[in-house]
Amino acid sequence: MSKAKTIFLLDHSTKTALNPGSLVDLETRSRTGIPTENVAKPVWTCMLEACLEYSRIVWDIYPNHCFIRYIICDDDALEIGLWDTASQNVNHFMNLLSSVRSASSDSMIGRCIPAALDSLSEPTENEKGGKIKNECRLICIGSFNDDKHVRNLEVMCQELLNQKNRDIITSGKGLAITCLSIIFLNVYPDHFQVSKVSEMLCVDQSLQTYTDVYSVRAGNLSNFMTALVLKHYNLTSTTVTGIPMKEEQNASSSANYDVEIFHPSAAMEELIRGDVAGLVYAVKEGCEYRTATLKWNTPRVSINDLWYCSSAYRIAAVDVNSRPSSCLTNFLLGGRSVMLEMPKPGGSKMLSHMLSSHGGEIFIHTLVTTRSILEDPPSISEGAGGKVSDYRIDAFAEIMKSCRLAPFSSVEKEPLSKAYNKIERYTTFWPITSSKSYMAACQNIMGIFPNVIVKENLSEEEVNQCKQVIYNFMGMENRGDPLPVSNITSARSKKREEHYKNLFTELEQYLRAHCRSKQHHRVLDCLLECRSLAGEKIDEKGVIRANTDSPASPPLAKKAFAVTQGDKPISLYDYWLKNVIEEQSNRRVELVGRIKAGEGIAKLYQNLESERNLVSQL
Amino acid sequence: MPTLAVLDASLSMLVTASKEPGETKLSLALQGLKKFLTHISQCNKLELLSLAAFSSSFDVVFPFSRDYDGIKRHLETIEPCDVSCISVALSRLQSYIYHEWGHAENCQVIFITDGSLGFGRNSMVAKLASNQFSFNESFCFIPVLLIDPSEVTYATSIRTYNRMVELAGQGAVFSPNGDLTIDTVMSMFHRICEVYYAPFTGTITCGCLSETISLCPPPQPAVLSSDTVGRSLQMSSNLKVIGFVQLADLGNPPLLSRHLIVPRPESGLSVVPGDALKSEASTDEDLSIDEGKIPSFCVLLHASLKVKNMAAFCQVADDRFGVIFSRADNKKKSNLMLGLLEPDVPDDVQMIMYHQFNFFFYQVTNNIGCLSPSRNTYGFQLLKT
Repeated sequence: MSKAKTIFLLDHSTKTALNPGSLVDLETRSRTGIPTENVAKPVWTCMLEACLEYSRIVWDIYPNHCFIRYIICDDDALEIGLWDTASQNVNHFMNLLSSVRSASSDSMIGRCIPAALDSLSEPTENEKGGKIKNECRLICIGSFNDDKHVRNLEVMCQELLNQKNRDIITSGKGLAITCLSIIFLNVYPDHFQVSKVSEMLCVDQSLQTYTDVYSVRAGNLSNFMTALVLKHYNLTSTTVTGIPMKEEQNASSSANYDVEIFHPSAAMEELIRGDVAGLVYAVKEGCEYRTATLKWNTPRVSINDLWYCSSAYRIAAVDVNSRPSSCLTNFLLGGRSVMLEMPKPGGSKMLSHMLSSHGGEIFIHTLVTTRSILEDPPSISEGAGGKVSDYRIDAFAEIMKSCRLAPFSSVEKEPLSKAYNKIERYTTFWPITSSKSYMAACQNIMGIFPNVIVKENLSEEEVNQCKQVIYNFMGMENRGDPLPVSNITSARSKKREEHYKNLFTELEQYLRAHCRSKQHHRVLDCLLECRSLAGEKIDEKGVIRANTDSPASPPLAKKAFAVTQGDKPISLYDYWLKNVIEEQSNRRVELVGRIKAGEGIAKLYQNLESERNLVSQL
Repeated sequence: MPTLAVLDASLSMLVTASKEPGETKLSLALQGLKKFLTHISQCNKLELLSLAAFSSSFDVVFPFSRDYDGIKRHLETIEPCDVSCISVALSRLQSYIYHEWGHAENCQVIFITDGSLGFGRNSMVAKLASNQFSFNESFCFIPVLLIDPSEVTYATSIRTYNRMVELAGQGAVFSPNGDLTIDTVMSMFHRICEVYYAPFTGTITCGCLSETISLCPPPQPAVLSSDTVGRSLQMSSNLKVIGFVQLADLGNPPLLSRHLIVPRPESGLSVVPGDALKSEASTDEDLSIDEGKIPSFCVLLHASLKVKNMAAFCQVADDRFGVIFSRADNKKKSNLMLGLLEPDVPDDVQMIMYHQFNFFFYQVTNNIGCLSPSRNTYGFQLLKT
């Protein structure tokens, strides 16, 4: 079973850091012709390379579920990685590994075990809250002295685990480790004849620990760790054969290449439930695991087919940097899908899997290949509604485009209800065939009217545009223009007036169904007003009369516009004059004399009379 | 689900039913099977049926097909042979089912017998007692026992077959309620139809548009096999369309099961609300209107999805969703299918398959921009233009 948490205890001692592990193949040219000394990778380098490759595979296939941390066991005991997704990638680890200094002491693995157990009892970001089984793995890699050394470390581990669990129960903090799988991996240099540590496997039921001891040559460590990751995480290797790739040198010819990938075994097991008699397994050269062979099938796949897949899992390319691998990866990331076929006994072939990329990651889909009870079903056109030929397919396609879905963003509250609300608005009062709907028949004249009315709110301009459509129809009715209702069978026997009447009835019902805001009401009111005017006109005269007014002008007001001054009606000239005078008077200060005089004519030289009287008296 | 009807054609089936003097157990079985076939042809038209008979050997009388009338005709050709060998029949029928269907489809086996279990060491009782018997394949085992309560072996037979159903894991034993008569046999087959062959009827709703539909095969409750919780999730009878996606964006998600959507509009009136001129539909012509001429929302949905290469997302239960799409079996015949997505199990870290559809969506209009894959989840992220 895949463990969610794994810690690597990497022994950074003088033994691992300084001992030559495996020789590096170098082609050297020296002038003298004497072969130069060989360069060897230290055991520490072999260890790190193997661990990073192990981690890369786990992170590629189980990115948010399985977590890995390293503890570099030397004087400083450096911890690398955390139990969160952000730190789980090769770049982050390599950056932190660059701060590891040179080794100067003996093996410190024993001293780092408590730190490892502390980390394992912390919850990952997935494990926070809720009781879960805390099953972990501890992988100790280093150059051990002998079996006794390993056994001592194992006993220390078990005792510390016991103590740790007891502490957790008493303090209540942290997750008790329910099951610990301990792996001791002894790495010895290539030139050693024999390993000093023997392999074994033991299980301690009472303490719930499983201990494995392996002893591996440094040069073989990478292959061994690859086999280990397959076992630990239940992965399978699949080789995609027959991939045609063009050579750079010879652009015209193409050769077939193989690319090996790892993926969860379940992708094959799903198939095994069906019919997998023809699946070919081969032991990979130099490795301890088998790889299944699936052949590339030239992709004539249309992206518009929905294949019946039972599962989909992430994959990890084994040899990431090889040219065929990167070629295949780029091909998939470009959006193309690849079908993989499996040979069946009897010589035929069967499409069993599909590789495709989603969101920048590559997945292997397992196709359902078994016989289905839905084989040879009757066509939908043979059933109910199949003989109708005037479905409003294009109009519904427009609704589908408008109601497309996209992922949830944290800003949205209750996006599901918002989605339902939108689709309800768009399908309110929506006839599915065009043969009974006058509105559908006149959709060219309707213009943007239906697109606008389905909105939650309307702007001023949109209200005016809708009203314009109504006026257009009114104008057409007054002029006696025919409506394009030839598709409507029931309309053929009716007169033109009835067509308009039915159209306006339908429009009214439509608007009433969509009355969700004040603006919608305004449009409805406009329609009702137009119809009531038109209704009176028709009732009075009995025939439609050509109106001399422009169709675009609003309907005539019923009442004459009358202005009164007091009770007496005044003429237009007087009214205009009054307005002008009022306006003018607002622009300047009134003469004091006028104000004093009030309404009548201002009397001039008022004092002259009184002066004359005064003089006559003297 | 495909059904295999296996009939016991041994001599013990020729025994006359004590309460129904004119009928033998075999003739009662044949009548019951005919009623069963009639029910299937009316309610489950896409069911695949096969007929087999066993005695000391196991013979396939009619291979899996939808020709229910053909199966009925072949019923008459079944002749009783000799002794009934139950274990032989069971092992042969298992290889037959595996050969036809592999492990993917869960077959239902209606095993009609008179309850005789064999003799001595080869009897089923002995075999079960010594744990010599087990089922290799997984299927739904439905033993139908034509046995009268007055018979001596009644209790033993019922007990033994119950034990076999337990070993099979799925199914149930059916026997007549009371004495073995034609009526009790008919009601027994009726019960089988109700339990195992009830058609699924529901509605599909897209905003204000809706229609009654039936799904074939009827959806089974999903059983989640996580290590912490084993829940059984039912589906509601209403498929509510939430919105639409392009097929290219959908990207072939893993489906739990696929079902054909068969539109069944109510006879007579149009079922589309908001049809402005509903009143114009003449009610006098209800009975004679051809079903094909009544507009169906499913046909419209299918045509639009096919033309635009899109799929509809729908909610089938509180936390279960499905995808509705157009599928062409071959180039000429296409249908509307419902694919049920795996239920989301957020707590289960063992479910490492991708559930790329975060089940909360909002809708966009097509003037915001195109959708393109993002790195975060298998899903898509809006590109704002």
